[in-house]
Amino acid sequence: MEGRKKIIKMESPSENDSVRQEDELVVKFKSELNELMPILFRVAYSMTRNYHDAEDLVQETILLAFRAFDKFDGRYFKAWIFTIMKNANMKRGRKKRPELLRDGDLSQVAQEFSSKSTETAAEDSLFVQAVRSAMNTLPHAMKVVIQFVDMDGLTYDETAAALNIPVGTVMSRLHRGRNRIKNNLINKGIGTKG
Amino acid sequence: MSKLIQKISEMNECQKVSKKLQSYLDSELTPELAVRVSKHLDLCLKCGMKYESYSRIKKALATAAIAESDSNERQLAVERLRRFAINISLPEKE
Repeated sequence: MEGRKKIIKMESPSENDSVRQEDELVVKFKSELNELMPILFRVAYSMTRNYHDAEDLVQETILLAFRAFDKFDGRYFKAWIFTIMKNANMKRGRKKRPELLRDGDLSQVAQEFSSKSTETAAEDSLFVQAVRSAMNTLPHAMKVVIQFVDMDGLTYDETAAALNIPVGTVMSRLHRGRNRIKNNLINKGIGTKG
Repeated sequence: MSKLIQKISEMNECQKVSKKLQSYLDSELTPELAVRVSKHLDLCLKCGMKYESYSRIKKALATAAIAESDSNERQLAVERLRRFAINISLPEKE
Protein backbone atom coordinates (compact mmCIF):
# COMPACT_ATOMS: atom_id res chain seq x y z
CA MET A 1 0.00 0.00 0.00
CA GLU A 2 2.95 2.30 0.84
CA GLY A 3 4.41 1.57 -2.60
CA ARG A 4 1.14 2.51 -4.28
CA LYS A 5 1.09 5.87 -2.40
CA LYS A 6 4.62 6.68 -3.54
CA ILE A 7 3.71 5.89 -7.13
CA ILE A 8 0.64 8.11 -6.97
CA LYS A 9 2.74 11.10 -5.85
CA MET A 10 5.00 10.77 -8.91
CA GLU A 11 2.18 10.42 -11.44
CA SER A 12 0.55 13.17 -13.51
CA PRO A 13 -3.03 14.22 -12.53
CA SER A 14 -4.65 12.06 -15.23
CA GLU A 15 -2.59 9.03 -14.23
CA ASN A 16 -3.45 9.81 -10.65
CA ASP A 17 -7.18 9.75 -11.52
CA SER A 18 -6.74 6.48 -13.34
CA VAL A 19 -4.99 4.89 -10.34
CA ARG A 20 -7.73 6.20 -8.03
CA GLN A 21 -10.42 4.74 -10.30
CA GLU A 22 -8.60 1.41 -10.27
CA ASP A 23 -8.35 1.54 -6.47
CA GLU A 24 -12.07 2.24 -6.22
CA LEU A 25 -12.77 -0.66 -8.56
CA VAL A 26 -10.61 -2.97 -6.42
CA VAL A 27 -12.52 -1.91 -3.28
CA LYS A 28 -15.85 -2.48 -5.07
CA PHE A 29 -14.61 -5.81 -6.40
CA LYS A 30 -13.49 -7.04 -2.95
CA SER A 31 -16.67 -5.80 -1.33
CA GLU A 32 -18.83 -7.62 -3.90
CA LEU A 33 -16.71 -10.75 -3.45
CA ASN A 34 -17.09 -10.59 0.32
CA GLU A 35 -20.85 -10.25 0.07
CA LEU A 36 -21.17 -12.97 -2.55
CA MET A 37 -18.83 -15.48 -0.90
CA PRO A 38 -21.51 -17.70 0.70
CA ILE A 39 -23.33 -17.98 -2.65
CA LEU A 40 -20.06 -18.55 -4.52
CA PHE A 41 -19.24 -21.36 -2.12
CA ARG A 42 -22.74 -22.85 -2.43
CA VAL A 43 -22.53 -22.82 -6.22
CA ALA A 44 -19.02 -24.32 -6.12
CA TYR A 45 -20.31 -26.98 -3.74
CA SER A 46 -23.19 -27.70 -6.12
CA MET A 47 -20.67 -28.22 -8.89
CA THR A 48 -18.22 -30.36 -6.89
CA ARG A 49 -20.40 -31.90 -4.09
CA ASN A 50 -17.33 -31.77 -1.87
CA TYR A 51 -16.26 -29.03 0.60
CA HIS A 52 -12.55 -29.30 -0.07
CA ASP A 53 -12.99 -29.20 -3.84
CA ALA A 54 -15.53 -26.37 -3.54
CA GLU A 55 -13.07 -24.26 -1.53
CA ASP A 56 -10.33 -24.96 -4.09
CA LEU A 57 -12.68 -24.00 -6.91
CA VAL A 58 -13.66 -20.69 -5.26
CA GLN A 59 -9.99 -19.86 -4.61
CA GLU A 60 -9.15 -20.62 -8.21
CA THR A 61 -12.10 -18.50 -9.37
CA ILE A 62 -10.94 -15.55 -7.24
CA LEU A 63 -7.40 -15.82 -8.62
CA LEU A 64 -8.66 -16.02 -12.20
CA ALA A 65 -10.98 -13.08 -11.58
CA PHE A 66 -8.10 -10.97 -10.27
CA ARG A 67 -5.96 -11.92 -13.27
CA ALA A 68 -8.80 -10.83 -15.55
CA PHE A 69 -9.50 -7.75 -13.44
CA ASP A 70 -8.82 -5.31 -16.31
CA LYS A 71 -11.80 -6.87 -18.14
CA PHE A 72 -14.13 -6.13 -15.21
CA ASP A 73 -16.07 -2.89 -15.74
CA GLY A 74 -17.82 -2.87 -12.37
CA ARG A 75 -21.15 -4.13 -13.77
CA TYR A 76 -22.82 -7.57 -13.82
CA PHE A 77 -20.43 -8.89 -11.20
CA LYS A 78 -22.38 -12.07 -10.45
CA ALA A 79 -22.74 -13.07 -14.07
CA TRP A 80 -19.05 -12.37 -14.67
CA ILE A 81 -17.71 -14.33 -11.68
CA PHE A 82 -20.08 -17.27 -12.15
CA THR A 83 -18.92 -17.55 -15.76
CA ILE A 84 -15.30 -17.65 -14.54
CA MET A 85 -16.23 -20.32 -12.00
CA LYS A 86 -18.09 -22.42 -14.53
CA ASN A 87 -15.14 -22.31 -16.94
CA ALA A 88 -12.68 -23.08 -14.13
CA ASN A 89 -14.74 -26.08 -13.10
CA MET A 90 -14.92 -27.34 -16.67
CA LYS A 91 -11.15 -27.03 -16.96
CA ARG A 92 -10.70 -29.07 -13.84
CA GLY A 93 -12.59 -31.80 -15.70
CA ARG A 94 -14.02 -32.99 -12.47
CA LYS A 95 -16.03 -36.17 -12.65
CA LYS A 96 -19.43 -35.71 -11.09
CA ARG A 97 -19.98 -37.87 -8.06
CA PRO A 98 -23.19 -39.84 -7.80
CA GLU A 99 -25.59 -37.79 -5.70
CA LEU A 100 -27.23 -40.59 -3.75
CA LEU A 101 -28.09 -40.19 -0.12
CA ARG A 102 -25.26 -41.33 2.08
CA ASP A 103 -25.82 -43.65 5.04
CA GLY A 104 -25.62 -40.87 7.62
CA ASP A 105 -28.00 -38.55 5.81
CA LEU A 106 -31.24 -40.11 6.94
CA SER A 107 -30.33 -39.87 10.60
CA GLN A 108 -29.40 -36.22 10.08
CA VAL A 109 -32.71 -35.63 8.34
CA ALA A 110 -34.48 -37.26 11.24
CA GLN A 111 -32.71 -34.87 13.63
CA GLU A 112 -34.27 -31.96 11.72
CA PHE A 113 -37.65 -33.27 12.81
CA SER A 114 -36.66 -33.98 16.40
CA SER A 115 -39.47 -31.75 17.72
CA LYS A 116 -42.07 -33.80 15.86
CA SER A 117 -43.48 -37.17 16.72
CA THR A 118 -41.43 -40.20 15.74
CA GLU A 119 -44.07 -41.28 13.23
CA THR A 120 -44.20 -37.87 11.54
CA ALA A 121 -40.43 -37.66 11.50
CA ALA A 122 -40.18 -41.08 9.88
CA GLU A 123 -42.82 -40.17 7.28
CA ASP A 124 -41.06 -36.90 6.52
CA SER A 125 -37.68 -38.61 6.26
CA LEU A 126 -39.07 -41.17 3.86
CA PHE A 127 -40.64 -38.40 1.80
CA VAL A 128 -37.33 -36.50 1.69
CA GLN A 129 -35.56 -39.67 0.61
CA ALA A 130 -38.19 -40.37 -2.06
CA VAL A 131 -37.93 -36.83 -3.46
CA ARG A 132 -34.13 -36.98 -3.48
CA SER A 133 -34.19 -40.33 -5.19
CA ALA A 134 -36.73 -39.07 -7.79
CA MET A 135 -34.47 -36.09 -8.41
CA ASN A 136 -31.55 -38.40 -9.10
CA THR A 137 -33.44 -39.96 -12.01
CA LEU A 138 -33.65 -36.60 -13.83
CA PRO A 139 -31.30 -35.63 -16.66
CA HIS A 140 -28.24 -33.77 -15.38
CA ALA A 141 -29.23 -30.40 -16.92
CA MET A 142 -32.56 -30.50 -15.12
CA LYS A 143 -31.10 -31.81 -11.89
CA VAL A 144 -28.46 -29.11 -11.57
CA VAL A 145 -31.05 -26.32 -11.95
CA ILE A 146 -33.25 -27.86 -9.23
CA GLN A 147 -30.18 -28.26 -7.06
CA PHE A 148 -29.24 -24.58 -7.43
CA VAL A 149 -32.76 -23.24 -6.79
CA ASP A 150 -34.27 -25.68 -4.28
CA MET A 151 -31.19 -26.94 -2.45
CA ASP A 152 -28.83 -23.98 -2.65
CA GLY A 153 -31.40 -21.20 -2.56
CA LEU A 154 -30.27 -19.32 -5.67
CA THR A 155 -32.67 -17.09 -7.58
CA TYR A 156 -33.53 -17.71 -11.23
CA ASP A 157 -31.16 -14.89 -12.27
CA GLU A 158 -28.28 -16.24 -10.18
CA THR A 159 -28.80 -19.75 -11.53
CA ALA A 160 -28.88 -18.45 -15.09
CA ALA A 161 -25.63 -16.59 -14.50
CA ALA A 162 -23.97 -19.57 -12.81
CA LEU A 163 -24.87 -21.92 -15.64
CA ASN A 164 -24.55 -19.35 -18.42
CA ILE A 165 -28.04 -20.10 -19.73
CA PRO A 166 -31.08 -17.82 -20.26
CA VAL A 167 -33.51 -17.32 -17.36
CA GLY A 168 -36.26 -18.85 -19.52
CA THR A 169 -34.23 -22.06 -19.78
CA VAL A 170 -33.77 -22.09 -15.99
CA MET A 171 -37.53 -21.79 -15.55
CA SER A 172 -38.46 -24.47 -18.06
CA ARG A 173 -35.89 -26.97 -16.71
CA LEU A 174 -36.89 -26.28 -13.12
CA HIS A 175 -40.63 -26.47 -13.72
CA ARG A 176 -40.45 -29.58 -15.90
CA GLY A 177 -38.05 -31.18 -13.42
CA ARG A 178 -40.38 -30.60 -10.48
CA ASN A 179 -43.29 -31.97 -12.51
CA ARG A 180 -41.30 -35.12 -13.21
CA ILE A 181 -40.49 -35.50 -9.52
CA LYS A 182 -44.18 -35.00 -8.69
CA ASN A 183 -45.23 -37.63 -11.25
CA ASN A 184 -42.54 -40.01 -10.04
CA LEU A 185 -43.91 -39.71 -6.49
CA ILE A 186 -47.50 -40.19 -7.69
CA ASN A 187 -46.47 -43.33 -9.58
CA LYS A 188 -44.96 -44.68 -6.37
CA GLY A 189 -48.13 -43.78 -4.49
CA ILE A 190 -46.32 -41.17 -2.41
CA GLY A 191 -47.28 -37.79 -3.84
CA THR A 192 -50.58 -36.03 -3.85
CA LYS A 193 -52.42 -35.59 -7.12
CA GLY A 194 -52.91 -32.04 -8.28
CA MET B 1 -76.01 -18.50 -18.14
CA SER B 2 -74.21 -16.26 -15.68
CA LYS B 3 -73.10 -19.38 -13.75
CA LEU B 4 -71.61 -20.83 -16.94
CA ILE B 5 -69.74 -17.63 -17.65
CA GLN B 6 -68.47 -17.60 -14.09
CA LYS B 7 -67.33 -21.26 -14.42
CA ILE B 8 -65.44 -20.51 -17.66
CA SER B 9 -63.88 -17.47 -16.06
CA GLU B 10 -62.72 -19.57 -13.08
CA MET B 11 -61.27 -22.22 -15.41
CA ASN B 12 -59.37 -19.55 -17.33
CA GLU B 13 -58.01 -18.16 -14.08
CA CYS B 14 -56.95 -21.69 -13.03
CA GLN B 15 -55.05 -22.14 -16.29
CA LYS B 16 -53.31 -18.79 -15.90
CA VAL B 17 -52.44 -19.38 -12.26
CA SER B 18 -51.27 -22.91 -12.96
CA LYS B 19 -48.56 -21.56 -15.26
CA LYS B 20 -47.36 -19.18 -12.55
CA LEU B 21 -47.54 -21.53 -9.55
CA GLN B 22 -43.90 -22.56 -9.47
CA SER B 23 -42.62 -19.03 -9.99
CA TYR B 24 -44.91 -17.97 -7.13
CA LEU B 25 -43.43 -20.73 -4.98
CA ASP B 26 -39.94 -19.42 -5.75
CA SER B 27 -40.94 -15.79 -5.00
CA GLU B 28 -40.09 -14.86 -8.57
CA LEU B 29 -43.34 -13.10 -9.50
CA THR B 30 -44.00 -9.37 -9.53
CA PRO B 31 -45.88 -8.22 -6.40
CA GLU B 32 -49.07 -7.66 -8.44
CA LEU B 33 -49.00 -11.18 -9.91
CA ALA B 34 -48.11 -12.70 -6.56
CA VAL B 35 -51.19 -11.10 -4.97
CA ARG B 36 -53.37 -12.40 -7.81
CA VAL B 37 -52.03 -15.96 -7.43
CA SER B 38 -52.33 -15.79 -3.65
CA LYS B 39 -55.98 -14.68 -3.83
CA HIS B 40 -56.76 -17.49 -6.27
CA LEU B 41 -55.08 -20.08 -4.04
CA ASP B 42 -57.26 -18.98 -1.14
CA LEU B 43 -60.36 -19.85 -3.15
CA CYS B 44 -59.39 -22.74 -5.45
CA LEU B 45 -58.91 -26.15 -3.84
CA LYS B 46 -57.48 -27.78 -7.00
CA CYS B 47 -54.78 -25.14 -7.51
CA GLY B 48 -54.16 -25.11 -3.76
CA MET B 49 -53.43 -28.84 -3.81
CA LYS B 50 -51.13 -28.45 -6.79
CA TYR B 51 -49.26 -25.66 -5.03
CA GLU B 52 -49.00 -27.75 -1.87
CA SER B 53 -47.43 -30.66 -3.76
CA TYR B 54 -44.75 -28.39 -5.30
CA SER B 55 -44.18 -26.78 -1.95
CA ARG B 56 -43.63 -30.15 -0.24
CA ILE B 57 -41.08 -31.11 -2.89
CA LYS B 58 -39.22 -27.82 -2.48
CA LYS B 59 -39.18 -28.15 1.32
CA ALA B 60 -38.01 -31.77 1.09
CA LEU B 61 -35.09 -30.75 -1.12
CA ALA B 62 -34.15 -27.91 1.22
CA THR B 63 -34.20 -30.43 4.08
CA ALA B 64 -32.01 -32.81 2.08
CA ALA B 65 -29.58 -29.95 1.42
CA ILE B 66 -29.31 -29.23 5.16
CA ALA B 67 -28.79 -32.92 5.86
CA GLU B 68 -26.04 -33.15 3.27
CA SER B 69 -24.16 -30.13 4.50
CA ASP B 70 -22.33 -29.26 7.65
CA SER B 71 -23.16 -25.63 8.28
CA ASN B 72 -20.20 -25.11 10.61
CA GLU B 73 -17.71 -26.49 8.12
CA ARG B 74 -19.34 -24.43 5.37
CA GLN B 75 -19.12 -21.26 7.46
CA LEU B 76 -15.44 -21.86 8.23
CA ALA B 77 -14.70 -22.38 4.53
CA VAL B 78 -16.51 -19.13 3.64
CA GLU B 79 -14.52 -17.21 6.27
CA ARG B 80 -11.22 -18.67 5.00
CA LEU B 81 -12.17 -17.65 1.45
CA ARG B 82 -13.09 -14.13 2.59
CA ARG B 83 -9.66 -13.72 4.20
CA PHE B 84 -8.06 -15.08 1.04
CA ALA B 85 -9.94 -12.54 -1.10
CA ILE B 86 -9.14 -9.60 1.20
CA ASN B 87 -5.42 -10.33 1.23
CA ILE B 88 -5.02 -10.91 -2.48
CA SER B 89 -3.30 -8.20 -4.56
CA LEU B 90 -3.74 -7.20 -8.15
CA PRO B 91 -1.11 -8.66 -10.47
CA GLU B 92 1.79 -6.31 -11.33
CA LYS B 93 1.31 -4.44 -14.58
CA GLU B 94 4.11 -4.87 -17.12
